[in-house]
Amino acid sequence: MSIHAKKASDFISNEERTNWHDGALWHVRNKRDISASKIPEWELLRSTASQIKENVLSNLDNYLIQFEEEAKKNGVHVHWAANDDEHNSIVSAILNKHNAKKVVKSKSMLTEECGLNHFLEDQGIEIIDTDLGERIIQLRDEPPSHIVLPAIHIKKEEVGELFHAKLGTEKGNADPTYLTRAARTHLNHKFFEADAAITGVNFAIAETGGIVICTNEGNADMGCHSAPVHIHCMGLEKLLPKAEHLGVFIRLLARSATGQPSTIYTSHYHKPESGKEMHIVIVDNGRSEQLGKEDFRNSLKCIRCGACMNTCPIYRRSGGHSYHATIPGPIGAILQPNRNLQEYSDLPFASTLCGSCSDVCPVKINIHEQLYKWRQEIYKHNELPKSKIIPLKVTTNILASSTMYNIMGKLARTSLKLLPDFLLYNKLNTWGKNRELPAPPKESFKEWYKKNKHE
Amino acid sequence: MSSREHILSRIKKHKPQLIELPDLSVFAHEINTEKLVNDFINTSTTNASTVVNMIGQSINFDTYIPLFIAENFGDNAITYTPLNSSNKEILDFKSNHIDVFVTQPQIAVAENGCMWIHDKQMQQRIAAFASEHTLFIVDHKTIVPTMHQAYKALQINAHGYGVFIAGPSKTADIEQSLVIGAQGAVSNTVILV
Ligand code: SF4
Repeated sequence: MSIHAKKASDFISNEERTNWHDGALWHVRNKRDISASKIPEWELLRSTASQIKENVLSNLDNYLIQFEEEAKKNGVHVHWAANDDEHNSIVSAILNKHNAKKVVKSKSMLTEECGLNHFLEDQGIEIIDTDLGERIIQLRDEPPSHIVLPAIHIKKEEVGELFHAKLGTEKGNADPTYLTRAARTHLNHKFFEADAAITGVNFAIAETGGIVICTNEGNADMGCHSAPVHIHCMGLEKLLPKAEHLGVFIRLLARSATGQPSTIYTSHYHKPESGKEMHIVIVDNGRSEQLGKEDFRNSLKCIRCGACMNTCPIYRRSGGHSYHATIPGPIGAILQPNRNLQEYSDLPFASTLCGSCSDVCPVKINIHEQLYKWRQEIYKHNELPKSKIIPLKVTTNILASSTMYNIMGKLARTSLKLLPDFLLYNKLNTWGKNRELPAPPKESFKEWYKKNKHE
Repeated sequence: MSSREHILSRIKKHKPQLIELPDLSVFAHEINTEKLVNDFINTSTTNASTVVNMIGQSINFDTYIPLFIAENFGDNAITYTPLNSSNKEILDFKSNHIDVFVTQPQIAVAENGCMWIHDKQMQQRIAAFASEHTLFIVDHKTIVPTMHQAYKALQINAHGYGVFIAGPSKTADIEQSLVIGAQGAVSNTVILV
């Protein structure tokens, strides 16, 4: 069994919890739909955003050079990291220069991707995640299970127990307001103690050399404005050409993510406050390679809204951790194989190819088509999970011959009716697991058409 | 070769043929003051801001605002009002508790309740976040329909830092239950004039 399948089957072994997880994400997906439907020009926004990002990718080197030049003019220190290791050593060098021992960090999937927390902790630096969801999973010593809702897999009672053990809240109190207030007090101390702040970046503007960060909690700003030095780590695909393009993306991002018309804070950083220092670390880590793969390059348009996860029937019922990757869900399943085909060859199969991800994606990434293309790549590279090889070979033969196809179709239609349950729902047939197979039609479409075409 | 050169040369080699930027002038929106005001009130209220509509009423700010603060946040509420302050001393927010941060945003957005404030209006950036409550006085003539018009009207780098604030801080990270008051301000009041 592949890793994803194994982890997913562990996840769904608790049916009640699976349904709860499924429902929570579907609720977010619904909010996105309601929000999008209120904007008559929604589809135009999506296609415009997609085209802006395509322009960015087609001129990325020049935009990066322009961005660096403008940022430097603003007194910002700009660093370039080819990979995760270099990113981590750049950040740690800045921290060392400031003798920073206590660091606050706001949500950043990139630092997660680079494994920054553990790297700094090993050097004796305290690093505190300040987004509430991130803090919860950090205290549990777990990775996030979703890129926007990192603690979506955890129940409030579990947060109550965790905070009781780690933050000294009342035993048995699982009230979200009470727990959020406790975290507020706890984090407030951390902000004012911090020697440095680290954030991710939502957008970087080539024209002005500034960066934009979107949060609801205000944690990124609390960190940056209280610490004497702030470091912003960005993937090199985060660029937008001009300030005016922000209008398109800010309108799409929060609506796609949670259904809000915008996040509460949309912060634009161009210069440090007087007496402080501001750094930007531009990170490649495989992105410039991905740019060269025609079939897969446009996954670099992703703005990390999480909509494809919320809508995905597999993600909702298998949980983010089943993807054993920093970025889970449909987008993760097309980004991760680029990093390591062998390790992540199971992910493109964690999909029904229903296409719902591509339908909700605000920048119109053809996610399900890329999933399909990865499957072909994986087959070519012989990285196909064993359980897929034999059935696929058989299917190829059947589909290749029309007589064989007709016979097999008839057999399936009659055997579904006649076979006793134990044959359908046995261990070899994983499709039978947790599924009631539909009642088979009496005749095939072909048979029906033959009979009805003259009517 | 440095990482910078490596990265840039790889991008140059791998990037596709130039694709033109799309036309943004297609995003035009009706400017109807009454609708803009109504939409702004609705989105702000949805974002959990308290909106006090004083449009059309002549008010003397010097007396009205302190009275409003005393009534709503208590007689002894400590305020931080960089707008009227000639005092440029740096305040240590770690040891000073501020109840209410008061300012006048430069622009407000009807579609999402966003209000733009920048370095000059904050004096200290932390003020808008570490104060317990925020109080924004919004001139209804500054309301624009969407973010497109907002970014057109603004120069985002006119100051070292600028932020759209759309309400009090919030989170739903514990089981998707909305809690108002996360790491930033716990309440936001808008006085529309
Ligand atoms: S792929 Fe699209 S839907 Fe998924 S996170 Fe990225 S932008 Fe959002």
